Amino acid sequence: MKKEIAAIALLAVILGCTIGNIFIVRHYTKHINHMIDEIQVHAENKKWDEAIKAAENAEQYWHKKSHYTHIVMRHSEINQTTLIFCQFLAEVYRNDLGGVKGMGKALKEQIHSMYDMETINIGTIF
Amino acid sequence: MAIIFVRTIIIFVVIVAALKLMGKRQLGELELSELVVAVLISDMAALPLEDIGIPLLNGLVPVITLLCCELLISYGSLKSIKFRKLMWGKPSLLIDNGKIVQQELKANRFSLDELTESLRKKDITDISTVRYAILETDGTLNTVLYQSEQPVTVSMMNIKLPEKGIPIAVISDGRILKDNLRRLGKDEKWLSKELKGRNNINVKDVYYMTLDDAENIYFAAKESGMKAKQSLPGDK
Repeated sequence: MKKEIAAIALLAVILGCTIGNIFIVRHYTKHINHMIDEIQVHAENKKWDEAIKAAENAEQYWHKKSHYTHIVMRHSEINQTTLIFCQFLAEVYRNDLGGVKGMGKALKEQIHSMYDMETINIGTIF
Repeated sequence: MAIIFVRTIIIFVVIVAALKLMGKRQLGELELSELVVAVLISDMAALPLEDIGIPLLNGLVPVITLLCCELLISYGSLKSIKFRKLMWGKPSLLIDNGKIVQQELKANRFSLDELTESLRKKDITDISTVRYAILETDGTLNTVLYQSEQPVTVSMMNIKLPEKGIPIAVISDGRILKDNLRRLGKDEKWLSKELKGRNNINVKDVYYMTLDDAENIYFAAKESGMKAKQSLPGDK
C-alpha cells in the first residue's frame, strides 16, 4: 500500500511540476515579449540608445534564464532562440528599424513556439 | 562525452531502481503491461543518451511516470479480479480432457505447430498423453498429463522418506551468514565446532557451506586453502 501511495504522490508531483513549468515558461516568454515591444517602441521613436540598452537587458535576461531552460527544453530550440536574439540585437545596433521590426517578429514567433511546446493542448499532444 | 557518461550512470541507476520496484519477475514471464513498460522504459531512457541536446528530464520523467503507472496497475490487479481480467485476460484451455479445443487455438492465434512445439519443449512428444494444456496470460503453456503418463513419485510406490528440507548457506565466500545461522537455530559456537572437525579451518578459507533441517552439511573449502577435509561421512 505504501508503494502505491508513493506512486500516486509521485505522479501528482510530476504533474504539478509540469504545470508549474508551463506557468514559469509563460512568465519568461511574456516578460521577453514585453521587452521586445519596448525595444520596438524605442526604435520607432528613434531612441536608439535606449533601444540598445533595452535589447542588451533583454538578452541578459534570456541568458540568465538559460540554466532553467536548458533543463526543461530541447537545447536546439534554446540555441535557435539565442541565435535569433543575437540577430535582433545586431539590427538594433545597426539602428535599422525595418530589421528591428522583422527580427523582433521572428524572435516573438520563436519564443511563442517554445512556449507552445511546453503547454498542453490538442495540437501539441498530437 | 562526459555528459553522456554522467547521463548514462544516472539513467542506469534510475532504470535499475524502477525495475526493482516493479518486482521480481523473469523477462519471459512478464505480463502484458509489464512487458510494455519494460520496452518503453528502455526506449525512453535511451533518448537523452542518443542526443545530448535532449534534456535529461525528457528521459527520466517518462521512466518514473511509467513506473508509477505500472505499480498502480499491479495494485489494481491484485485487488480486483475484474480489473485483472481486463488488463491481463484469463488463461485459455487449449487441450481439455485430451481434446484439442480448436476454438481456443483460433481465439489465441495459436497454431497447431506452435502447440506441438511448446509441448516438445516440455519433453512431451505424444499429444495424446496430455490431459490439459493451459495457455497462461503471460504466454507460457502449462500441461497436466494423464495419471498413467505422469512420472512415478515416491508416494505412488508407498515409500516413506524423511523430509530433507532446503539447504541454507551458512558460509559464503569466507563470510558467515549470521541471519541464516539464526534461522537454522544455530550459532557461531556450533559453527566453530564444525570447522574444528575439519582440520580447524578458518572461516575465511571456507568457500561454501550449507546446512538443512536434517542437519546435512555441504562443505567446500577455497581452492587456495585446501587444508580442511572437503567432507566428512554423513555430509553431502
